[in-house]
Amino acid sequence: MDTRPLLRVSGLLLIVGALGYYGYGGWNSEELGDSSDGRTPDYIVDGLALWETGPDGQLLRTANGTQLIHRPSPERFDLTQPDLRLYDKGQPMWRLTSLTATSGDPSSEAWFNGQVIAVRTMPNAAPLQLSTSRLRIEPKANRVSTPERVTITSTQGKMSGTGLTADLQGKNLQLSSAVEVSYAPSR
Amino acid sequence: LPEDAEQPVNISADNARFDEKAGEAVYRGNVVVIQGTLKVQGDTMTLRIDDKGALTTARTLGKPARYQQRTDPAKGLVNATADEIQFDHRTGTITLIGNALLKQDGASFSGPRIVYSTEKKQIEASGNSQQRVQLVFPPQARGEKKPTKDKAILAPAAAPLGAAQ
Repeated sequence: MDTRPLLRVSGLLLIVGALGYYGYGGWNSEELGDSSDGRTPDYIVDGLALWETGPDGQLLRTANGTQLIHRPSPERFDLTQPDLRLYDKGQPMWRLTSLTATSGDPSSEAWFNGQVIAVRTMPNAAPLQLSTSRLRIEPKANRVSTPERVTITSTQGKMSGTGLTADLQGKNLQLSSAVEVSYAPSR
Repeated sequence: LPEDAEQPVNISADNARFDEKAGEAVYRGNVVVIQGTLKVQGDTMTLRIDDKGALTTARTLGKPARYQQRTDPAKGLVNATADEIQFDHRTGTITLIGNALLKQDGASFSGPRIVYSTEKKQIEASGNSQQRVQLVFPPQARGEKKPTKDKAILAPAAAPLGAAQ
C-alpha cells in the first residue's frame, strides 16, 4: 500500500497545527490574564453551571462560575466568581461565594479566595453568615477551616476570631485566637 | 444594675469552641465578659444557651475568677473572687465556690461557698469543716443612720448564723 499520500496529509496537518499554535500564540497564561499557576490549561469553560447528586439521586451540590480553567497533571481547577451550594439529603445547607476558588480534587478539597461569604441556609438552624478572606472546604472530612480572621454573624450576635475550624453543618465551631464576641441582650 | 440585662454581652478570649447542638460555648484564656456594669474575668468560661439562643448559665474558673457589678445605684460596686463563679442568668444568682470573697462598701464575706442573689439582694455564706465563714462590717460612721433591714445589702441577718459555726 502506498503511504506517501497519508504522510503528505499528516505533514500538512502538522504544519497547519504548528502555524495555528505558534501563530496564534497558544493558550499561554499571560494572555488569559491568569498567571496563578504558569502552566497552560488544557480546557476552559465559560459560564459554568454544575449539579451533582448522590447515589440516591438527592442533590449534593450545585456550582456556578463565570469561568473554569483546568490544568492537567497535577489536576487543578480554577473557578472565577464561584457560587457553591451544599445540600444534605436534598435540603439546602450552605451557600458559598468568593472571587475565586481553586481545587486539585473538588470532591475532597477546595479553597475559596477573596471576599468569601458563607451563608447557612439550613431550614432547621438559625441563619448564620461567615465572612473571611479565604476558606478551605473539605466535604469528605465534613470540615471548613481557615487560618485567617473570620467574622460570624447570627441572630444571637456577632463573633470574630483568627483561625477557624467547623463542621459543614456549622454546629461545632472553634476559633483559634483573638476571640471577640458580642451577644445581643437576651431579656 | 437592672438595665445591665438590656446591654449586649461582650466577651473576649484567647480561643473559643461552640457546640450548637449541646448549646454550649467554651472560652479559654484571658476571658473577659462585660455587660453594662457587670464584669467577669477568668481563665475558662462555659456558657450554656437554651434552644432559643438565650443565655442560661455561665461558669467561670480562674486563679481567681473575678466578678464585679453595681447591683444598686445607691451602693458601691460588688466585687467577688473565687476559684469558681457560677452565674444563673434566669434567677440572677451568683454562686462563689472555693476561696470565696465578696465585698461591697467596706463590708465583706469570705468562706468556701457564697451564694449571692443580685435580684433579692441576699447573701448566703456557708462554711465547711476546713474553712469557716468570716463577715466583716465597717464601723458605722458617727451620725450615719443605721440602714433598715430591707435596705442593708450585707446585713448580718442575711447570712444564716448556723453557717458561721
